[in-house]
Amino acid sequence: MHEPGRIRSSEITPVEVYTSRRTVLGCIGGALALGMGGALAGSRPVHAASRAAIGTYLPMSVPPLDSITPREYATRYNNFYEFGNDKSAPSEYGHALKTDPWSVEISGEVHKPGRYTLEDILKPHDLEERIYRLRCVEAWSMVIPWIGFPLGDLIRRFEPTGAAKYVEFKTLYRPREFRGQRALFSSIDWPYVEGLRLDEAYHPLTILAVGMYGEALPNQNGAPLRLVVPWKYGFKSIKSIVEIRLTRKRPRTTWETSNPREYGFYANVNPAVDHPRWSQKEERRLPSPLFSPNFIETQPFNGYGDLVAGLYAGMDLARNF
Amino acid sequence: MGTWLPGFMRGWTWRATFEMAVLRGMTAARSMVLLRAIAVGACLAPLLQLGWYILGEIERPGSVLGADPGVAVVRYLGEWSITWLLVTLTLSTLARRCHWNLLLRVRRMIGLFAFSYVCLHLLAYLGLLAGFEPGRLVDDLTKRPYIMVGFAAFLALLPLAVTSTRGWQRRLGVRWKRLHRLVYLVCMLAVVHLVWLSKGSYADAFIYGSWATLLLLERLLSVTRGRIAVLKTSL
Repeated sequence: MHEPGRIRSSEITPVEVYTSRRTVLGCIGGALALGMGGALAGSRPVHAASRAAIGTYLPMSVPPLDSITPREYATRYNNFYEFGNDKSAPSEYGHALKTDPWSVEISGEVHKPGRYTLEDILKPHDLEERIYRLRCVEAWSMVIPWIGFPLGDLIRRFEPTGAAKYVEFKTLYRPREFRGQRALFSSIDWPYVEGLRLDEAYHPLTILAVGMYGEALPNQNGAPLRLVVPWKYGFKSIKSIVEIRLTRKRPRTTWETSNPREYGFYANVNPAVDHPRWSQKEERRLPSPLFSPNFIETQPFNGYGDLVAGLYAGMDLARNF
Repeated sequence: MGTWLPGFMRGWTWRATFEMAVLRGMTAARSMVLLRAIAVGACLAPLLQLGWYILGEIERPGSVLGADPGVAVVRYLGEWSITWLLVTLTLSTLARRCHWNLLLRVRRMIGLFAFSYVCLHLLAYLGLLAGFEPGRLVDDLTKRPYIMVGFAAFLALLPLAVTSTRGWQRRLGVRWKRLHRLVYLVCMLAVVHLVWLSKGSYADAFIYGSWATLLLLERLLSVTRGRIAVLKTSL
C-alpha cells in the first residue's frame, strides 16, 4: 500500500534538524514546567490540568515527513461546526467555551466505568509530541505538532471487558457556549459522535491530544481533550471529548448519520476512492498561495500505510470507505 | 401594493419613498442618471473589495483570505453571482408590482454584471482551484453533480447574455421574452448548486433558495392570473 518512493527526499526533515528540534522542544517543556501562568496561560482559557501536564511531555516518537504548518493557519482555519460553519468561526467564537472544570465519562464495556476529571484522566500519562499530517475530507491538508498520549494507554486503564469491540466518543453538547449547536438549518445532529474499532483505538499512532505547537490546545482546535487519528480524514479526530464509551456494536457516527452516501465509518484516507464532492487523488497543502495552488498527491492511509494497512487486511476498502 | 399594510400606511410604496427621499422632484433624465450611478456603484463595490483582499494577499499571503485563499475567492464570487441574479429578478417583480418602470432601465445592466460575476466565479474555479489543469476539470464535470449543475447554469446563462442587446431584442420579438424566462431556471440551478455543496449547514442555501422560490411563485401567479383575466374578458 505505502509507496516510500513517492515521498521526495527534500520533504524529509534531516535528522540533525529533527533531533535539534527535540532539544528545543525539551527546553520549551522545561520552561513551561517552571513558568506556568506565563505565556502559555496567556489570555486563552486553558485548563489547569493540561497546562501542568504539558510541562512534562517527552519528545516526539514519529518523525515528520513534511514541514510543519505555521501555527497561525492551524489555529485560524478550522472545521469545528459547534462554533459555526465558516473556517474562521471557531477562532472567532472559540472563547465562549469553558473548558475548566472538565470531566470525561467512561462507560460501556469496561470494568471501571465512571466520570473522571481531566486531571484524573491525564495524571498517569507522559505527554509526547507527535508531528502528523492532517488530511481533511475537503481535500486540504496541514502538518501539525500535537502533544498527547496514546489512546490505548488510557483505554487499558479502565479495563475493557471481553465484549468490547468499538469505542464511541462524544463532544460536549452545550448550546449556550457552542453557537453552532443553536444554529438553524444545521445538518448535524448534536452532540457530535465519532467511533473507532477497538484495534484502531489501540494502535500506537492513535493519540488523545491536549496540546499543539508546544502549548495547550486552543478551544478552536478541540480543547481540552481531542482525538488524533492521522491515517483517517480529519472529521474522525473528534474534539472537546466528554464521553468515551466502549461498545459491542459499531457506533453510528455524526457524518455517517447526516450523509451515509458520502461519509463512511472507516474514513481512511484513500486516493482511490473519491468523495462525491471532492476528488481524493490530490490535496492542497495549506497554506496554499492564491495564484499557485499547492497541490500534492494524496497517499493511501495519508502516508501511514506501512504502519496501519495491516488493520484492514482482506477488507474491501472501496466498500468500507 | 400595500394592501397588506396597516391602515395608516396604505398607499405607501417603495417608489414613493424613493422618490421622496432621493429623487425629490428631479427631472426624469437626472433621476435616471442617479439610479444608474447607484446601480453601477453597488455592482462594482464587491469587486473593489475583492481587489483589495487580493492586493493584501499578494503583499502578505494568508493575511486576509486565510490558509486557503483560492476557495475563499471562488465562494465570494459565487455568492455575489447568485445575489446579482436574484436582484435582477427582484427588479422585474418590483417594477411590475409597483408600476415603476424606471427600475427596468437598470435591469439589463445589473443582469450583465451578474453574468460577469458568474464568469469570474468560473474563471476563479478553473484557475485557483483546478490550477488550469484540464484533467481536473474533466474529472469534476463527469463526477461531481454540484459542479455539473453549476456549469449547466452557466451554459443556460450564455444565450441570455448574448441576446441582451437591443438589436437582439428587436430581432427575436416575442421569442426574446420567452427565451429570457430561462433566467428562472438559471437561478434554480444555482440554488441546487449551492444546496449540493453545503456542508454542515443549509442556512445560505435556505436564504437564497427561498428568495428564488418566492420570485418564481410570484411570477407564476401573476402569469396565471393574467391568463385568467384574458379568458374572462374574452367570454
